[in-house]
Amino acid sequence: MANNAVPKKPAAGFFIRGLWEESPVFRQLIGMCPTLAVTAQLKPAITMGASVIFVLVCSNVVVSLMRRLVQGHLRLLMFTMTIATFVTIADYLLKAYLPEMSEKLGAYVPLIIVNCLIIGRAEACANRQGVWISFWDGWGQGIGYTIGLAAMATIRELLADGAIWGHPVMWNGFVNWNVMKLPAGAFLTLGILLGLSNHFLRKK
Amino acid sequence: MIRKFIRQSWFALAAMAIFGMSLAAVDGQLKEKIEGNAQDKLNNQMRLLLPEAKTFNKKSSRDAQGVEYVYYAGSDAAGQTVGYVFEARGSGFADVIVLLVAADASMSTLKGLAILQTNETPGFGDKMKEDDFKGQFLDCPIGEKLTVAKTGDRTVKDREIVAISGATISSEAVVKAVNEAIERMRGVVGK
Repeated sequence: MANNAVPKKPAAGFFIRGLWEESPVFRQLIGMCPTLAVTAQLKPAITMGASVIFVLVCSNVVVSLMRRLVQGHLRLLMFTMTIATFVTIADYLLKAYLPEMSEKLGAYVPLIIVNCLIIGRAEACANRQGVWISFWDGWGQGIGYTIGLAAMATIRELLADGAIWGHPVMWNGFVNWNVMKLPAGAFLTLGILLGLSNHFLRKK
Repeated sequence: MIRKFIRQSWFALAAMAIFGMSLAAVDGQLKEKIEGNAQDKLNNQMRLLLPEAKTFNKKSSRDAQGVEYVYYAGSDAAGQTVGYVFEARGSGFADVIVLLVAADASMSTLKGLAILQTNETPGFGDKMKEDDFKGQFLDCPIGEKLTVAKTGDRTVKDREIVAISGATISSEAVVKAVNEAIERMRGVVGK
């Protein structure tokens, strides 16, 4: 009997791949809008990452549970409805328990509904795989996304505010690079990080 | 025909109902907390602006066009009105600017300004949040309308507000909003 190509622990595979090898930010270049918009500081970036993980895991599980019942031509509608429900719940939770973060993130929390990462994973993974695999895929991709956001935000906050998570870190005479707060700085940081990650990912 | 329709859509409709109900449940649970947060934020701002006031009474009134709006009268321990806190709104460079203005009981000086909501450009209009610009509104006389100047001395407490360098539109929007709000309040409290 030929060597079976299916790995012994598929769920673990999905989880680990989401962290780096198939990183949403550095490899798939998906969900770029919040990556550029909310990474001016570390705290909002992590909050956004946590919200995406919550929505991704919940929506992956629900989509996977209903994958046999959803009609082919209605699946986009069903996915969007599922995602919108969980994003709204996440929005309410933020408004209730983290109001300053909710204000800081502003319109970007409702915009998670149209984040391509979530609907992409629903289509590529949750719609085809079982619940266990979808659950871990959600965590892996979500954490990978958060890692990408955190990398961007650390650099930008360090240079734009001289601080990390609000705590001043740079030396006293440091002049803030205001451009890092603006979209131009976001694109610059992303470009450099993409170049670096391409270099290291290609070495394989 | 109907059966074909139902066969295709029953699941979507059932899911809609379930999702709708879960959202209603979450909203019901959290609504109070969310409104409480908004009120807390407002109360904190008001306490910072008018430290002499022990309590704030919410009042509402209608202006000449019949539009209703809300303001707060701050009173001290003896029940005397020490000042008013009211909202000022205006179109800034990027988006609507919402401010909280505090004036003394005789509506003759401003007791300060708090920025509630602004989306102006960081490094330019966003600098209105800094004390350099915002502090000009403290103790400034409002017998007549406030004006904007491009250069001047920020520390002199007069009607002239020195704009943020490179952010004229934002600065003018703030002053215009404040002036309009003061006008409106005068109409309401008759001072």
